[in-house]
Amino acid sequence: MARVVAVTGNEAVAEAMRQVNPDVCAAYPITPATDIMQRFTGFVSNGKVKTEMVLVESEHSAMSACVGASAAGGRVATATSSQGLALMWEELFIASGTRLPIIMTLVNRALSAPLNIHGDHSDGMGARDCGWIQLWSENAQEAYDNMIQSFRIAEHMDIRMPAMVCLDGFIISHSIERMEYLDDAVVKNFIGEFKQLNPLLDIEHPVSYGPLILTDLYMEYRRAHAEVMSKVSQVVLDVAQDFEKISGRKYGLFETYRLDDAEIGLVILNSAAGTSKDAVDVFRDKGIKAGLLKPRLYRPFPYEEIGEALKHLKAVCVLDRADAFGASYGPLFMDIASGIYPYKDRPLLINKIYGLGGRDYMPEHAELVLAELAEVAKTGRVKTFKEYIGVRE
Amino acid sequence: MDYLSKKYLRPRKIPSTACSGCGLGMNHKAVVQAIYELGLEVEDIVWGTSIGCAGRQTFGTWKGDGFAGTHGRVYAIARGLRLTLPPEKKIILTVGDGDAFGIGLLHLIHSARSNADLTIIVNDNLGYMSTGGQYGWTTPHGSKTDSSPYGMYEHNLMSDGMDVLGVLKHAGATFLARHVAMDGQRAVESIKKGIRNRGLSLIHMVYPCPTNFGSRELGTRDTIKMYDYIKSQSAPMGEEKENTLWATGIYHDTSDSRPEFSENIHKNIEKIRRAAAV
Ligand SMILES: Cc1ncc(C[n+]2csc(CCOP(=O)(O)OP(=O)(O)O)c2C)c(N)n1
Ligand code: SF4
Ligand SMILES: [Mg+2]
Repeated sequence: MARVVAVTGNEAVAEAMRQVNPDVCAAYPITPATDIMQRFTGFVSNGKVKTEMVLVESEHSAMSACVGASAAGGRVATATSSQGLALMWEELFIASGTRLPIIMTLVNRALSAPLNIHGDHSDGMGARDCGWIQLWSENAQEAYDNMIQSFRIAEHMDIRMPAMVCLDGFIISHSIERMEYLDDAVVKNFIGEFKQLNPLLDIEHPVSYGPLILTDLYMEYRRAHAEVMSKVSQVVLDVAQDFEKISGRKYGLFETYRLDDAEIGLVILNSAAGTSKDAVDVFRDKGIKAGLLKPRLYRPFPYEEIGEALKHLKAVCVLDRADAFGASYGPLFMDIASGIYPYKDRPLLINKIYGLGGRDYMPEHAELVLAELAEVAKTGRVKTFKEYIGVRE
Repeated sequence: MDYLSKKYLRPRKIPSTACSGCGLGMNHKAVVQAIYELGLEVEDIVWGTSIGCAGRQTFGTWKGDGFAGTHGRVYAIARGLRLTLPPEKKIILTVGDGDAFGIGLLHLIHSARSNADLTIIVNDNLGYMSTGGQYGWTTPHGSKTDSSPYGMYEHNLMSDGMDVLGVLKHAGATFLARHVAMDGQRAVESIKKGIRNRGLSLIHMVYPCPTNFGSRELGTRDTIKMYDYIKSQSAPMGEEKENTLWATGIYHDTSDSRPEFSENIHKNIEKIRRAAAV
């Protein structure tokens, strides 16, 4: 029987990790992710898991230890945030390039400088093209569910790629919500035994990790990586179907909210999607056909599916909790624009940057954006393509 | 530190936002007192800080120029700065134990190797305190912390005959001292020597963190108990007792004995340039 609990996002992630019982975890503290590995260390100390836990001297070392343990044939997990992820950068590519199915929770937080510890997607967006799978989560329940599914996705024999599960720093990581835990046995059965693939220490079948590959084959390796990534969407859907059977909760590549007959729509990631859905309801009550799309699988990005889902709208606003300096538009905007580009009749697109460094995103913000979209839809004209909202001028 | 803070510190930053009972202010004061006693002015010093309680609570307090590093990197930043700053300007860094002896140790060792003219005050609250109190590389063996509920048992840089100051001595540091926050004038004198040395000086200063370390290890945030814990386990070098964890005083002093990092580079580059010009 599922257990109904009131827990924080971090607690939920730590509980998922306890239930998965990885072979090795490496950790270095960083706000607001510290709490996850903190609680998990408690499980290790209290004998609740069999995990070998290593507390290292930096995140670079944490990811390096994960790479080593994963190459040795272990099921491996860690968690980090912001500067920690930034410091792991080099090893992120090693993990994906050597196809090691490491699972990492990323508690999204702003990047320095200036120093800021609050919720912001700059960290995850900076690592969006490092070859990892990324699943984003609106709330504690989704973070927990994504964690459990991520092991199945990353470890799938056709995939074997590392995966990141993202949730918003403080807003979700430190707020208590009502949610449901699955039974230990159900989780154990769902993720199954870890299957090794080309592990080190299999003396009969020696392997080398991390070779030098120059002009002769490097490009083929990269293309092979891209090919694997192209299979991820289907695996995510298959795993979601199995997950629905054990949880009753339905997941796809993204979530749509009142979108089918919508004329205007918001595209937004993580916790702010919840706030925005309320604003959508307010507009629906006024008779305005508003809807919302919340990406879940952000890497690899399901361009075609998202394009299909949005193409019938008249106007869409993509809200980014990160900026892409020098690229003019936010990172999510650019992906959505690519997704709808192939369609001759496509919605007008605008971009808002919101909530940087933990700045509050309120229902009024979503309502202002929807009002602007209604105007854009009516007139067919866009006044400003990109704008910061909730910012002091 | 009234008269000192008026002269050297930004009024809106004093008092800091550190927890009540935090001992960091005592270390901070010792540094400012040393600066005062050396007759240095605001413009003589550029002040760098790390991340964490030690870094953030001293960041921006100095009336003059200051800079913050990301976690563990301030030593590398300071070396870059040292190369471009006039030699008479002093660089003082106030950093944490996790920063200096953990994530930043490699940069620190290279600062010592190259004998960069920096005075580094490592404010040791016995672990990673701003992230909630995880053990670090100076946490006494057996201590209960957030990440060692049954007692810290890992090898670290202050156990089994290891001493991080020994590591730095062999890496080439030219002035090393250890103190606890309650050492008062003795600590000030060491810091003064450190600032005077034209080379890498490091003063390791243990201070009480009642909020995280105290509450886990001692089971209380009682400031007096936390102060007593540190004071009773420290003693001047040569007067150590059985329970002494921190022998205080000057650990190693070869001040001005070998060329300073930037001076060495400038001198040799000048030599090469002259040779090339001939
Ligand atoms: C690369 C990176 N990893 C982790 C952190 C999170 N972090 C902030 S403060 C801190 C603790 C540092 O410990 P210490 O240097 O001893 O400072 P204290 O807080 O104890 O004064 C950590 C790990 C960070 N800011 N950057
Ligand atoms: S957590 Fe500890 S070290 Fe940090 S400010 Fe509070 S008392 Fe001081
Ligand atoms: Mg510390």
